[in-house]
Amino acid sequence: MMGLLRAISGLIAWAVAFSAIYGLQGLGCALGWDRVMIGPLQLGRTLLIVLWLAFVAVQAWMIWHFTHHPRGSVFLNRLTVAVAVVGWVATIYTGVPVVLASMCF
Amino acid sequence: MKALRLHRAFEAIWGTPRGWRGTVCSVNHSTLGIRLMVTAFAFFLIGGVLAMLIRAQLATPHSAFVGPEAYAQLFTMHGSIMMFLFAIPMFEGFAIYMLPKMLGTRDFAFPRLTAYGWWCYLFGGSMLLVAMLAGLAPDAGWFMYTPLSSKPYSPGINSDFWLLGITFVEISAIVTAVDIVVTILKMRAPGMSLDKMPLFAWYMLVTTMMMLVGFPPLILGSILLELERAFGWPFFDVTRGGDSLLWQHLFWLFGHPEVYIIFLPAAGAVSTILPVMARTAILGYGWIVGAVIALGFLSFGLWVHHMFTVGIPHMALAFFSAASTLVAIPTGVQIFAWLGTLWAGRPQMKMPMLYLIGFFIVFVMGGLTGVMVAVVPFDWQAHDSAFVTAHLHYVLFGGFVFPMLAAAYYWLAHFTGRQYQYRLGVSAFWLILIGFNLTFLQMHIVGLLGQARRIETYPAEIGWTAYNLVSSIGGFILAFGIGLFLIDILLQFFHAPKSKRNPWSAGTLEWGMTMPPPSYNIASIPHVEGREPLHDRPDLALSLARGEGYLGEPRNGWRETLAVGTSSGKLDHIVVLPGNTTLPIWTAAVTGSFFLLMLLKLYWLTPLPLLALVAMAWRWAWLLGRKEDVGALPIGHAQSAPTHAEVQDPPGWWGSIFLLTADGTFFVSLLFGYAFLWTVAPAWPPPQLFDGGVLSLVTGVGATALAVIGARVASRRLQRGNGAGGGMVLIGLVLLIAALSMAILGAPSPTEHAYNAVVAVLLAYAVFHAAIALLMQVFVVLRARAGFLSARRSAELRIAQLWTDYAAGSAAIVLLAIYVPALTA
Repeated sequence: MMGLLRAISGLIAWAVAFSAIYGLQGLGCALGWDRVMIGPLQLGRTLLIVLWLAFVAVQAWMIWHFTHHPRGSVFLNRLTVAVAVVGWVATIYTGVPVVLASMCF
Repeated sequence: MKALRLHRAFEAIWGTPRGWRGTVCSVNHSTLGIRLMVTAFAFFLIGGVLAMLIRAQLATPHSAFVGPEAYAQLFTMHGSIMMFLFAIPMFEGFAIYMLPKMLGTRDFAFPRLTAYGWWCYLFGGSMLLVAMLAGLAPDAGWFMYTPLSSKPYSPGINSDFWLLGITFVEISAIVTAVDIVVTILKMRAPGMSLDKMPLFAWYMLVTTMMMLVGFPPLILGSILLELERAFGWPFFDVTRGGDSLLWQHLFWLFGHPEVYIIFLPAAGAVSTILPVMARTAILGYGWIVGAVIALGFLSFGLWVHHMFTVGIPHMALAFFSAASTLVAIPTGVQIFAWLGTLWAGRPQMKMPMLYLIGFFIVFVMGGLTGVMVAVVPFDWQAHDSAFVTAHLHYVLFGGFVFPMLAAAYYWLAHFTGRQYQYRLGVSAFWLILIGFNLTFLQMHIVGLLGQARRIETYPAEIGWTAYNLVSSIGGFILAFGIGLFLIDILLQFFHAPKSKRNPWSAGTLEWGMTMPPPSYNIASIPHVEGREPLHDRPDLALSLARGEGYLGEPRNGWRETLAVGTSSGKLDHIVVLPGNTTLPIWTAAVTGSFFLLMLLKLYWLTPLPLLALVAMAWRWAWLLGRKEDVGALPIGHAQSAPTHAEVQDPPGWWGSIFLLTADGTFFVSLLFGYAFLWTVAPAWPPPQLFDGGVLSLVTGVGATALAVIGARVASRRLQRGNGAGGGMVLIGLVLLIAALSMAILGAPSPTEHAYNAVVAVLLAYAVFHAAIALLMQVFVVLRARAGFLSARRSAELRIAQLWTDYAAGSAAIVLLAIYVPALTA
């Protein structure tokens, strides 16, 4: 079972990242963080970008780790790496709005 | 001759008595799977008749065929029946019938639970049908949006029928999902590692995991809405701190994954049938597995795309728009794998292939319009129009009904034992394909012209008449096609010659048995070496019938099958399954009586069925187990294995893990609702925060620690042969219930504000789980005293420990979630 859990961990990481970013956006809007400025930066957006990049970095590390530390069958290892790549791409793609879109409007 | 002797011996053990006694007590997966499919098809026909009535009403402007009230019931029941009473039970029934045969096992992990799920479905579905016949059918749309479905705007009993009936049916879906997951992970033939598993099993594994995560938000939403309607707890009432958008979130957290939950099993059937029709192996097995897993996850990131027009900030819209477009990629991977398989093989145009072609055409069109509505500006134009009705029918009819019709012809010989004979099916196919496209293709256009979904009439001068008339004609052609299909299938049962074994020369194990299959499926269990065992060993079917595989000799009248390691497929232990019993039907009847009493508003009587349920669950568990260790038993091929009673993680333990997964999702959804209301709903923060005193917080948290430590102490004592001393854990759980009860007594009135109502539900959730854990621990103590537990037979203790840990953990979170805001305010 641990092998199967490991195989889907890349997409579990995406699910956590997606929920955390969506949650932080909602919380930031509720607390008015879009109107708080830190120098030229908007507090809410800055926090969102930091969180997004942190997840992107962690998931990139997961890909490296799964590639360099295979465990169990060849099939499960390939699946683990492929799912980690899918999760990483999904986090990058679904997280792009933190840079582009208006936060609370 | 040996095969015949074995058949008689196994049939005596696994068979079902004839007559009504067999009907009510059977726990056999083939019988129950067929019952589910037949009932689901009956609901499909009923839902289809409702669709005909809808189309008759819309065929002409200013139609007086049915009034607006009846029309509202028609479209609500059409959607609800097709989603909850046809699609889900149909693929569940198919999986229940087929999976054990494909996996090379004799039955499901929890046969009594399979039967319980079937009876719950029948009773719950019947409730909705009775409502419809009485003219009291739900009428607020199949997604029951608040405030339309709330008491002030739907004062009748109609919405209660939906909320209670559907929740009842969802219980059936959850228990069946647990049953299917454990069967796929544990009950495969030895040697069948995950990479050798049939693709259909992969699809069902992902689907059922999605059900365990996707259905609890809907169950939660239904409970909250019923609490609001019955007792005035204002979860969705904006004037008292609720928010109607909370319902939309909870509904679509279920509703969007639901689309994939319906599509994936059908896609699993496509991945199984298509390579056989193309006379080759599936192309890109690993790619398909990866794509299915990706779909399973990504489809949970789409729910807000049903809410693009409710006024959500652009950034949040963009998150969900991105996820909605992304999901097209794994779907595309599967479609290209299927096309590649056709390209690499030598396709034969048999009946299943015809329907697969229909599936390709219709589903791809539905997928493309799906990408269109995933884009926010387009969705703002098309939202709630007939365009969306057309899109969802292309996806669901194309993605589910066409593959299921292909499956019906592909596996027909398996059910009938006869070979397909007539050409009526070809005419039925063309009527269905043409009728479907006539009904829904121009519905895209009339939707873009502005026709809203669910309207019961329209003015003649608006220019929609021709589109609607053609749609209605198409709908009736489609209905003729379905009728012809039904006649064609029935003809096969009565007027076709016997089929040879494995008529398609397929490689999967379900074809390695007589047709129709015997109650035990296979006289012995194979050792699997590849993905297509019947191609690897052409003599396998006869060899298994002669008892030359594992467990080839009946023993002690036991219903034996094998369990394996989840990933490796290595032989793990023998599972001895329970036999026929009337417990499932009685338990389902008692469960149904609870919902019925709720419906009749006899709330003061509802503790009775709850107490009866506890008694039945107790008996359910008490009937299993043994009072002595039997050690490893021979299973053939000079190998031996212990029975499930003497291993650390028998199927019951795995079942608890997955049931708790669903339970945990329910709990997280509740916490999400709490956080959502706190941050988004108007009239928050609440006028008065909970003030239960620090004493009950400290007592409660201390009690959770005592229960968790106590459960471990009991386990250690048992391992050392000192019996299961459960004193500490029992004290911990009693203290926890006392602390939570004190908190409930001190809580503000739940009718005044949504905050109060959420606090009450959170505390009730924690008390409920602490009570379950307490019952389990008392059960374990009594079982130990009766001699059912030993150092080797300790699984029941481990299961009770799981539930105790969960109860303690969730209670601690509830206490912190309630007390921390109050203490820090």
